Amino acid sequence: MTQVAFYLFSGILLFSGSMVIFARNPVHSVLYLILAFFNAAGLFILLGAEFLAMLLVVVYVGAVAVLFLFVVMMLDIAPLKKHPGLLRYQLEKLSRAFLSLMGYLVQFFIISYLLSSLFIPVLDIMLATVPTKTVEVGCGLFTPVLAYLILRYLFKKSFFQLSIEFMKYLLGVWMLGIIMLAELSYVMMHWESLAVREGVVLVPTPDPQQVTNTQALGKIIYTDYSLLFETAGFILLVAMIGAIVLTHRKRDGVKRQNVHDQIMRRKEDTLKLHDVPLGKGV
Amino acid sequence: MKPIGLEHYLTVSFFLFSLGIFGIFWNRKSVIIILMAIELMLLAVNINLVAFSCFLKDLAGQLFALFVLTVAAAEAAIGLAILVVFYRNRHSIDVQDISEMKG
Repeated sequence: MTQVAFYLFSGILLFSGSMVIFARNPVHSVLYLILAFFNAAGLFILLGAEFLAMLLVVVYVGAVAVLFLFVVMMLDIAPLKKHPGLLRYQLEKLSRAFLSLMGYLVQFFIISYLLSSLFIPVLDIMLATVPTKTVEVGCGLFTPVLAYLILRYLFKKSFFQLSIEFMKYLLGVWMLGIIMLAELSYVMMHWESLAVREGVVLVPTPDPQQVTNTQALGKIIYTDYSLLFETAGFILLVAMIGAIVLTHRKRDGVKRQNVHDQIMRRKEDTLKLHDVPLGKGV
Repeated sequence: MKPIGLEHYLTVSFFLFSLGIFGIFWNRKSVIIILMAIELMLLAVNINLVAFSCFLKDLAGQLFALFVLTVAAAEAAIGLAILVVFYRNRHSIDVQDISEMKG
């Protein structure tokens, strides 16, 4: 049962998450965002974090997503027009890049395999005196280089310039990917949670049969973590003031009460006493 | 079926986070989609935190998720306010219209 619920929630979550990004109409994006939040709340309930689940529904669906919806509708953003050729063009571009990469790799391996099968016997005879292992390593290094040289000679213009341009384009991406993969595998090999290893638990979860999740969270929020809680409230206050200051604007031609001006008004600035002589006027 | 473990939740949150990152870069129309992608990323982080909190029996993770929710709400409010001001000035929120400088 739990498995079914998990796969249902996470499946809809990922689907609606992708639809947030790919929907043409921003209003649809916001609605899918709401669906995503609902399903994340379901996942939270499966994990036993009921308070956060309710918070997600109340705060996110009730406030943030509706705020998004208001802004989208207020700004009146037109949905992205359907260009009949656009998607096909992008798909074509992607598939062409992929196919060309695959093509280069296949050609490279086929040719290097052929060359190595051709050259290894020759090299074996030539290097009969050298131990076998060295020969294998030598061939392994030698054949790709040879294949590269021959191919460069054969397809000077089309094949290699293209592939070099391609490699230049991909080099940064590959470097980044390799570094990240190395880091991840390092973590995978050596990672052991501190809490699992040493039994360090910052705030032990009480037995859910006796203390509900909300109660347990409330107990630590208002005691040990009250400073953080107040800081969070202060952040919300700052955000509220910031949003008001940013979006507030003065319109021309609208009469408003200016409290500052009213307070700063002095008798001397506005009131003048004239001693008007009799029969002469001001 | 296998019982649902920590790695299932981590996988879901990983995919959701990647979707968020992808959404920021893929999107070329309105800034509001970028804000929504950021919300998705924060949601993925929250799933991560709550999953660890559940499986390590440590309530601090849920507490931290609570603060992430707070900051995400503040960020959404400020971001949307900036967006509204931007729309008033430029009458468009397209990503390619943002750059004011040439170069």
